[in-house]
Amino acid sequence: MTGGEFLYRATYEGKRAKRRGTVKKDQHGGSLMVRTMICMVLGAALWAAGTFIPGVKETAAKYIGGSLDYRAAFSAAGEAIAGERRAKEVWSALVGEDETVDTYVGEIAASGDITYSVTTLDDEQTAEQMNEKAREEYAGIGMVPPEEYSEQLLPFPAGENAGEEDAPDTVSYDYLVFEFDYEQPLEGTVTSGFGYRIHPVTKKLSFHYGIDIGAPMGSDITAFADGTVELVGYNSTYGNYLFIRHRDGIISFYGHCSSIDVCEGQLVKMGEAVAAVGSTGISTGPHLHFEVRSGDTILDPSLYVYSGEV
Amino acid sequence: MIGHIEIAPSFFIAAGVVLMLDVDGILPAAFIAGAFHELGHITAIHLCGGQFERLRVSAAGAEIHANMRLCSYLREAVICMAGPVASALFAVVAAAGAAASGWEALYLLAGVSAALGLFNLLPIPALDGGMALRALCMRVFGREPVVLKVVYLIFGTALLGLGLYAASVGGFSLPLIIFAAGALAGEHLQDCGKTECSV
Repeated sequence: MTGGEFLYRATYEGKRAKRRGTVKKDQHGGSLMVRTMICMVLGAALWAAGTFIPGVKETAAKYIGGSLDYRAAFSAAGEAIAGERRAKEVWSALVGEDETVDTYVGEIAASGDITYSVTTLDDEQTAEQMNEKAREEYAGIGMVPPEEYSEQLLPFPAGENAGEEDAPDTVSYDYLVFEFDYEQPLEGTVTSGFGYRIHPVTKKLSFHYGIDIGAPMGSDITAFADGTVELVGYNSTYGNYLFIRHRDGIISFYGHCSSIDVCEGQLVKMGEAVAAVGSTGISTGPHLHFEVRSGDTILDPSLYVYSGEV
Repeated sequence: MIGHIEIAPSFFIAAGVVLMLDVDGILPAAFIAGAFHELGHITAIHLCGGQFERLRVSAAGAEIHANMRLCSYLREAVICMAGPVASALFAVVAAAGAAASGWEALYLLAGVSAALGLFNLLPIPALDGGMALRALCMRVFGREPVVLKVVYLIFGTALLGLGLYAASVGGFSLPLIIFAAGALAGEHLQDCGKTECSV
């Protein structure tokens, strides 16, 4: 036995002996059963308290949990591994830096499609009827000066046929004429139109604030019109998104992108590639969620692009 | 004892606490990721000629007890690293599966597994990375160099600092996640009943 081997054995066995001391041999064989049962009951009680007593989970989580969003961070990490997100966004997902988006775009966009509590029918027929009625009520062409625009907005009438839900106040079916050139942002097929629909993931009747255009993953998304990139970000609903501000307070929104190729503040021209089609956020497949707004008011994009396809 | 898996009573308390607090639904992913991590260790133990005796799960984490007949520091390092490697492989597979199938939950699984693997690589005595490093030092130097102790100290402090920083940013939740990750992976590979080492 060489000196090296001796040292190795001594160290290894010494360590092993030390470890053995920390391995607790269970001397109370019989009461192991009892202790296990007691701990199972206590554990179940803790779980039940959290699940069934309202407020317990939230209070405990608040004091021990804080406001870090681990689920979003881990999901972001997984997407980063798959190559669909940038690694640094994991941190922003963790600390919830997207909170700033909420104040900018208002609650509606950040929370995704709002589902109303519809007590009547919730089949596609009803959604289509409601859309038909909306278009009839609000079909019209008119030049609306921006400063009077908010007064021109009429809430969706809650008549007998429209259902019991309230209209989203910030939606308008009005056709606001744009005094600039614009074009469709993506070559693809419209898979979901503006207005009421059955949400593809939640399967509930909800309002769709834009149009979905399906296209192969990675396809170029181009700017709707000349403008400035207003905001680039990520949240768990819309994945990678960006806003472009155009003339007269018109804003276009592009969601679920696999990547964004521009930075905030960058000037872009109509037709210039700004992002690539992806499936980030709540999405069932690669598509672009496209919205057009006038300030805080959400307009129907199919009045401007993809008309006839919706 | 269920087959090779032993569950200590304290585990149920810990499980109750974590279930009570798990508002995010991360726990199932953590369990699956942890299981694959342990599977990596167990596979490596088999391949190194050892015999996996049992997996003891308690509130403090998972311990693997193995009978290592052919022991060497190199094999010990390999066995330690097998856990993070398995976690990394599982993360890549899950991420690819998520991209292919569009099933969002797989992204969460991939992220948790990657975090588990990376966390275990930290050079801290209790974690896989630290143990592998120690085994390699023993193999190369025949002893634990002072550098090793320094590395342990640096990373241990850094980890604590990171926990405190995250706590100041978003509340006291990082300890929870460290606990959750460590509980499944802060394991101690113990060998029992080892016969004579033939180097």
